[in-house]
Amino acid sequence: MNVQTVLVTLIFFITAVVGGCLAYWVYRKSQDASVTPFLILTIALSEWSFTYGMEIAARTLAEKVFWAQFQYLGISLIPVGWFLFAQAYSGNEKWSNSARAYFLYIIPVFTILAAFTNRWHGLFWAEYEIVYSGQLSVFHSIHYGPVWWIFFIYSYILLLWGSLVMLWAHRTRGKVYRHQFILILIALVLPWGSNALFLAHLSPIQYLDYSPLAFTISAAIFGWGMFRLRIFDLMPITGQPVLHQLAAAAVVLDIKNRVVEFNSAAKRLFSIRTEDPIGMPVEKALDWWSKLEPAQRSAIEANQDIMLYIDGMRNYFSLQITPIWNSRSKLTGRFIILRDITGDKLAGEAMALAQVKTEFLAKVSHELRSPLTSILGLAEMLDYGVYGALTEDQRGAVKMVYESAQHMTRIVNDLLQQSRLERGTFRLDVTEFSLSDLLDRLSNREKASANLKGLDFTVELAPEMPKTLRGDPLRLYQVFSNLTDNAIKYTHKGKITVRVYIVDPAHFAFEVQDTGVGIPNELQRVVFNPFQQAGVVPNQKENGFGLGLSIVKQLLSLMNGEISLASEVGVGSTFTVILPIDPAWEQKT
Amino acid sequence: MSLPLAYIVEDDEIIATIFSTAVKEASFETVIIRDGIEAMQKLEAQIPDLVVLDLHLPGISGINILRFIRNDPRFEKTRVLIASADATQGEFMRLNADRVLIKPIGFHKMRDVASELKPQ
Repeated sequence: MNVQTVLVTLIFFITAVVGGCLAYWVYRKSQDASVTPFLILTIALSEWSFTYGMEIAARTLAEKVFWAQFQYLGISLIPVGWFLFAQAYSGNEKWSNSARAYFLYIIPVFTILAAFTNRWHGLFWAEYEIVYSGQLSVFHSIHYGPVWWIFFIYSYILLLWGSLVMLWAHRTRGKVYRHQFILILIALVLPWGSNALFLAHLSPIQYLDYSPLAFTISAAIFGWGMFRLRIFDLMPITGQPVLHQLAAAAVVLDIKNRVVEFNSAAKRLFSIRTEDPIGMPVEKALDWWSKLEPAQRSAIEANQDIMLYIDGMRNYFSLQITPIWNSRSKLTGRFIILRDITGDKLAGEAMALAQVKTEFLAKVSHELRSPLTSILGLAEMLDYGVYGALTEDQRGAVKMVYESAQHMTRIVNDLLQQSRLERGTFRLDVTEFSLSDLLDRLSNREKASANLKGLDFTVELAPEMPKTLRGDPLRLYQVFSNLTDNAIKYTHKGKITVRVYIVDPAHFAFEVQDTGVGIPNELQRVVFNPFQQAGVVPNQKENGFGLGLSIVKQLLSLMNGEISLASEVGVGSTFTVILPIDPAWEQKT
Repeated sequence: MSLPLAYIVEDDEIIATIFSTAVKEASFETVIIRDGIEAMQKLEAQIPDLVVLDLHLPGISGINILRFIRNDPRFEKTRVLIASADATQGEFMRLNADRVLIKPIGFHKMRDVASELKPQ
């Protein structure tokens, strides 16, 4: 045997060993679905390389034909292995998962049968010979049979298809994937290039097919890529476009908790520390990962709401962890979706808080009533002389106790009413009533307190106003007296004028005008909010809870009425209530 | 002639004293009762002319005592004055009671209302 033959044979034997090692290595290393086709590919390559080496070493045509037939055990499986590897690599599991993958083996099986039975039909190799190229003697088919051509076309379709699938899968990838891409490109170009050289009879040693060599180098590149760049471990697990269309932050982790994919929402929402976190351990890549509970960090499957502090702000997320299984039902990674639900959560909290507040108001109002009864009752009893006659000073002190308790009673009543209005349990008690009687009562009460402050208090009732109205006289009185009380409270000199008049055929107005301190513009909008006081009199202690005007507004709303305010600081305020003359109040109550 | 009898059913000691004093001022003889069970026993023993009734009571609630009084013809002439801190429940009782007062109730108010409810 000549030196060249020995060398070439040795090269192919080495290639066969490399292919076998690759197959074993990959088998031991990875659990991914794409490994099975890769194993088929490397084993087939190894077999092809070995039998090709044997064929070159063989001396007679019969021996060469024998080994050429055995080459097709490997050759026929390479396109299928390549194609399925490409599909699995690009995450297209429908090929590796389904029975249709088996159909891919039909033509290879016929090819093998045809090659081994060629001597009886010549459908594979129609005419063949030994050719000599330098010192080498090589099996050469002068004319190929139809079965060979079918296999030839079939192989190139699968090889081309697989290559395109690989290229397509790499169209949108990060930096680690870009490295992979270059390697894969080299790995793809090598077999195609060598095949092109062979077919064009341009190879340095004519008639020698470098394809097993080229394919094995390309397989080795994949192997190296797998080891160094984790091609298999970091195989894109999920479909890319869907991931990026998600409004929620989505991160894909592999089985070793490394970031495989993340979408733009994840990048926006969280400060990903490095430019390209792909391939990094998740706790390094994502700031917020360490803020999760240990159970959440290791959960295979989860669906719960979590709270994270991001830049010192409370943020709520709906956390969804979904396992990613491969076709062999092995866990390959986790899909993590974080949807920002801060808005919903805060709105819910605000509602719950409002509910608590309303219940608290009712409870406080209720609980204060008994001690107030004791205070009021005992003060009255003292004043009445039940416990003996009082001195003038003692009587004065008891009067102050009594007045304070009465003030507190008003607050308690306001609180209860506010809570009922908020709960919607407040009802109007609608009857017919005399407007002038109601105004007389109001006038009698307010005149006394206005006069005490040296203020004038007048009521002007327009003569065209109806004598009787329908409505809730108690609540109407409350509305009117609240407004007049306020006017007296905030007026220190001048007068308070109440006017009642027809606005239009369906409505009348109740207007309270004072010459008081007035309300600044910026506060006019908020005086009707609960627990707000204009607070414009710094030197004067203004008692109250700021509920009066809020209750007025809410009561008027129940009565289909409206209130407006015109005011100027230092000049005075005018509150105007507009109410229907013939109200359909019942509809609202 | 003996004075009309009033039961003051109220678990708060101070309030019971105030109410009792006020009702006495309206010329009633008063008995202070501090819980619902005692109230039922006293009602079985003697028929009062007036019951000043708190709604939230230990033992048997004021609502059940009112129901008992209203369903028994022996108490046909007994007047019931509800004195409760629970404005909502008090209002529900308005139909069954002769008067409903929501706390805080002053000494004078209690005296005046008791006077109005005195048997003629």
